Amino acid sequence: MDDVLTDRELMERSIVSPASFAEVFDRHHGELYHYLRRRAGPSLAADIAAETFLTAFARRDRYRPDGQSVRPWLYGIAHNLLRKHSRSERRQWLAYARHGEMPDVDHSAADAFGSADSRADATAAAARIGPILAGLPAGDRDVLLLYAWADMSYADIASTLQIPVGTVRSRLNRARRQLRGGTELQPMNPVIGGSRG
Amino acid sequence: MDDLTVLREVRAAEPGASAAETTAARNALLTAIEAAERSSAGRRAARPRPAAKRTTPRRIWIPVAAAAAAVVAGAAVLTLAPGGSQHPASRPSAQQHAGPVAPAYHDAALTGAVVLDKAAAAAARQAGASGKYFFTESEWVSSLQPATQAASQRSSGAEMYRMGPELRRMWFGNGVDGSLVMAVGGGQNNLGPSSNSGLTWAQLRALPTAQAPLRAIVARLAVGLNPKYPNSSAFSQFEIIGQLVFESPISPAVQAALYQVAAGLPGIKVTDTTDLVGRPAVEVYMRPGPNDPPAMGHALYFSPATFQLLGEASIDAANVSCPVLGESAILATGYVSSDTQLPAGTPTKPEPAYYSNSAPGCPMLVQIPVGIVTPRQLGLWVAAQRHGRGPRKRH
Repeated sequence: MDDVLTDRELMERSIVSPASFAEVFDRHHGELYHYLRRRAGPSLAADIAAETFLTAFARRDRYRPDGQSVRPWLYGIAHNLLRKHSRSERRQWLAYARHGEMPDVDHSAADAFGSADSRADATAAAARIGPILAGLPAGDRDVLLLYAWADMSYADIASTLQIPVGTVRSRLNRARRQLRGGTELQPMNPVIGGSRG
Repeated sequence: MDDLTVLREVRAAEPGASAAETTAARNALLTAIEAAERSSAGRRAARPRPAAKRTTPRRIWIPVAAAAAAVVAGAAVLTLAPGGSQHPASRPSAQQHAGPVAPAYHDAALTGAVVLDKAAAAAARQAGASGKYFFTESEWVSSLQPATQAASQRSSGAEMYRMGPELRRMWFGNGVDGSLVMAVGGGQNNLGPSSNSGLTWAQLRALPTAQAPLRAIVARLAVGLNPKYPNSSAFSQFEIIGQLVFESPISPAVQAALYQVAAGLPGIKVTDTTDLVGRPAVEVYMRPGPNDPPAMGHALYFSPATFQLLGEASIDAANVSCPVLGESAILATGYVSSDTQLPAGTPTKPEPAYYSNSAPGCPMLVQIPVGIVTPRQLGLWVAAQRHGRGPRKRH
C-alpha cells in the first residue's frame, strides 16, 4: 500500500498533475473554513475559503515549503484575502460584542452555541473579548487568533504572516496583555457624539 | 480560566462548512483544475522549479530591485492639528490650522453635498505628492455597551465599555505582488497586504479623476461590500468612498473626485461635532435605510475651517445621544521613502492626546475587569457598579 503523501509532496505533484490539488482542498478546507467563520462570519468565510484554494491553485508553482504542511501557506493567502475585509471584521466584532453573535449568523448557527449555559457564557465572553479583538491592530489580532484558534506554532505563524518569529512573540505578548485586562490601555476616553438629526 | 482558554471558547461552536458550501467551493476548484489541465498554461506550470528553501522570513512587501533603484523622495507631510480648546496636549508644530475656528458649519445652508464640494475644492488645491510609503498617524477608539444591556439604557447612565484610544502609525507601501501593504512600528511589525477597499497600491494610485469612470468603480466596489444587502447602493458607496479617502495613498485630485462622487449620493446628512482629539468638525454621515445593514452608519469628519479630512467614524444609527461606536482622528499624513521615516514635522515621540472619561449625556466608559466571564458575574458586577458597591474600574 502506498504511503500517504505529505502536503509538500501533493503540492509538488500538482505541478505536473493539477488534479492532485483537490486532495489539498479535501485536507484543509474544512478547518480553514471554520477558522474564517469564527473570524468573519459565515458569508465571508465561504467566499474567502473558496477563493483561498483558487488562489493557491493558481499560484501553486510559487509555493516554497517551509515544512511538510501547506497549512501556513494557505492561511497566509486566506489572511491576505481576509485583510481586504478588515473593516468588515471590525464591524463584526463590535456587533458580536454587543449581541453575542455575528450579525449575519442565522439561527442554526446560533444554535451551535449548544446549551443555554454555554450560550450565556459565550455572550459574556463576547462582551469582554469582542471589543478587545476589535481594537487590536490587525497584525496582533492575526497572531493571537492563529495561535489560539488555529493552534499554530510560532514558526507556522511566522511563515503564515511572513514575519520574524520574534515579531510573532512580541505581538502575541502584546495581544495577550490586552486580553488579560487592558493593562496597556490608555485612560478612558469619552464617546463624543454630535447632535445628529 | 485564563485568557487563552476564554478566547479559545469564543465561537468555537460555530458550525463547519455546509455540504452545499463545500461542494460549491470544491466544484469551483475542480473547474479551475480542469481548465489548467486543458490549457497550455497548465503545461507551462508543470515545469519543475528549483527548490528555494527560504532561510529567513521574506519581507514580501519590499521589492528589492525597486528599493535599490528608488529615488529617495523628499518627505512631504500634512499635519492636522487640534483646533479646539478641549485639547491641551500639544501636537506637531507644522499645523495647518490652530486655535478656535469660526463655526461655519452652523450655517443651515451647509448641506452634506455642499460640505463635500468644499472638501473636494480643498483637496484639489493640495499639491500632489509621492513616495515609496504613505504614512499616517491617527488616534483610534472604539466603545460599546455590555451585551446584557438594551440600547435604550445607553443614554440613561448605563456603563459602556471601550477600547483604545491608541495612537497608530502606519506606513502603506507597494507589495511585490502588487498588493497594498502596511507596516506598523517602523518596520518591526509588517502586517502584510492590507487595503480596506481591496485595491492595490497601483490601483489606488491609478484611480481616475473623471466622474463617470470613478463613479463606476465606486459602484462596483460597493456591490461586494454588503453581500447580505444587495440593494444597498448609496449607503455602501458612501462607505467605500470613506475607505478610499481614509488612510489611503490616493492623490489629492482623486480624493477631490471621490468627494464629488459622494456629493451626488442621496441621503447624506451633515452636523457639527467634535472629533476624537477635540477638534471642531463638520460631520458628513449617512444612516442606513431599509435596504442597508441596520444599526451601522458611517461618517467622515472635516475641518470647518479648511474642509480637509479630519477622520472617520462608525456610528450606531439607533442611538441618537451617544452614537459613535468607533472613530479615528487623522493627525498626520505624508509620503516618505522608508517604512521607518516620519514626515517632517511629526514628533518622534508623539504626546498622547487629551482624554476625558465622560461626555455630556453619555455614560462613563468602563473597563470590564478580568475574570468576569459568565452573565451572572457580569450582572452582579454591573449592579455593584450602579449601586456604588465594589471597586469602580473607571480610569
